[in-house]
Amino acid sequence: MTLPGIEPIATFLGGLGLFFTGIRNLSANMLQIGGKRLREAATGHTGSPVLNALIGTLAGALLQSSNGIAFVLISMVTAGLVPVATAMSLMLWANLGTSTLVILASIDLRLVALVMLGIAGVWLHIDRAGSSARRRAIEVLMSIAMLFFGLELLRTGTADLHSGEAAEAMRIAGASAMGAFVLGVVGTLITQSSASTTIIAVAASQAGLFTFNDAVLLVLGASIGSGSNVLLLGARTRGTQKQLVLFQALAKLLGIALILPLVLLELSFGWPLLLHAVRAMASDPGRQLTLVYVACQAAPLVIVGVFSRPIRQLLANVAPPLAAESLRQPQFIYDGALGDADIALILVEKEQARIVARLAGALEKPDEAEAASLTSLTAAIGRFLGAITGAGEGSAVALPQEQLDRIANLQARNEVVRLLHENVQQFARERDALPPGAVAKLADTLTQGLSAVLMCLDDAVRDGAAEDIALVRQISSDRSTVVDSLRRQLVQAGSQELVYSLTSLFERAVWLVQRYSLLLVDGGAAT
Amino acid sequence: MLAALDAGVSRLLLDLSAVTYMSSAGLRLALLAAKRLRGSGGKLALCVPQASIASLFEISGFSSILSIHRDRAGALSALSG
Repeated sequence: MTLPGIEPIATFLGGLGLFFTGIRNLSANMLQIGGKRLREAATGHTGSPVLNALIGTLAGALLQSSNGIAFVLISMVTAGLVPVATAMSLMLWANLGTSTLVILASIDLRLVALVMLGIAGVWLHIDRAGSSARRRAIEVLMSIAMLFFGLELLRTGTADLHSGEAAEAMRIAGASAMGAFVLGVVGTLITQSSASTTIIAVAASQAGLFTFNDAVLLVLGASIGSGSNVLLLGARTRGTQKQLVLFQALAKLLGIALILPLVLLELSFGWPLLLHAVRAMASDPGRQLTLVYVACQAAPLVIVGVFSRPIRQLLANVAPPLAAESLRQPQFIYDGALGDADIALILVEKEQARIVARLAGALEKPDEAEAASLTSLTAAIGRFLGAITGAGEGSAVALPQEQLDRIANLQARNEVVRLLHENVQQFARERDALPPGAVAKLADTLTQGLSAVLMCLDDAVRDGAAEDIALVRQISSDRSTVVDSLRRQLVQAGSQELVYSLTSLFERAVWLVQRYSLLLVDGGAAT
Repeated sequence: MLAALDAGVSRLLLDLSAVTYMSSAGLRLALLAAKRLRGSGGKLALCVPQASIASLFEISGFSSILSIHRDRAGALSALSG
């Protein structure tokens, strides 16, 4: 038995579920497959505008998440792999690249979707022992099929809903220009994708659920929603990262700043502007909306192209680079980087390298405030590493063993560097409390020796050269014989407890340096 | 010392006979010279007669990678070998 009116609602909901599952899996699988290639492509070229356009558009078309790509690029800039200007250009073109899916979604692909769904489903069932790369490629096909099939169900559901109460509620929401605009903003904040909101708006418009003018305003609102999303995700970024977050949000805003006045003038005075042009280019309202979406993504390319220098100056003033920021604040890791485990791990190495670089200074002049900052920083790194693992577990695509091993290695390094820093601080505090005399002289010798070892560790972590890592391992090998000899000479002169404490802290520090150097050999140094 | 290395010296004797105190920066400088000479196929030998300085090389572990001698004759012999 079926309740009256439930079928269109169930069809609509089922379509919505399939659509979002498809788009989520597509983005997750494509980021896994294409994220590394995007990084290689973005790193490998010299910043030529034509290549930026090609790589950015292709990345947007394939990865289907302009904000996801923005955060990959932010991570790459932070890691020093890509210049800021190149990242900005790639972001703009990637935004345009996301239009591909919106264009495809405006075409009736029901039969194609069903055939793809059949082939991919049967293939995944039969080819259980296939290579992970092949299975991932089929999963991409499956995701696209689910997305399009979901879209077809959405279209059917919305068409059947046309005269129902739910449709009446949507009509009320979209009845005013402002209502449609707000619906676009809120919808995108929920879906996290302006392309998704636009695709749903296209389906709803094709089914006659929205008037064309309202649907246009909904699409414009979706761009604002997307800009708000990137601001929310990047709320905790600082310095250059913040500049790039603001740039991506600004790009969305600039698109609307150019398009919205044209639309409002056209709606108010009937002047033949953008809407007139899209009507001339396509007869179907869905395709006309798609063209409006493409115009929103293309407009920032024009504006940023003309005002590139003042925009970058403005961003640098609003979010100056981080040189003078406190050690407590992570300089490299940030939540937006969690989507790409490879690059997130490089950022962790860079963050840990900052701590290693401070060890010799902490030995020379212990500072309680800096000690608290470093403790807080290692805790933040630990949480971030946990979140990378958590993001992998929550993702449709599991982290490969190689990445899990690197995470374990970096967790071990984090613990070792935390203990090493605590040990160095304790040694420095005890040394500074010593009265002048033979024990103080021993403490100074130990300080100079340990400081040299810590500086060599810094070199090895910073440059990652195999020769430097081998050197650290050699100089941090067991030296109990020489320390015992010093200990015996001074214990005879008294101050037994102080001498034992200092020499033990020294030996432990050197042992921890060796532990760290062994982890560098096993897991690679900071790059 | 760095000027000598820049000039292309391939065998260097670092005589620390008159040195009574050495910091970690001095240790690092000796290591830098050894690395540069090793990279160009050269040699470095140190003459370290002072017990306190020799102890510093021992404590830092640098004695395991540097050629350290108690007198000039030993250091010169190591360089000519």
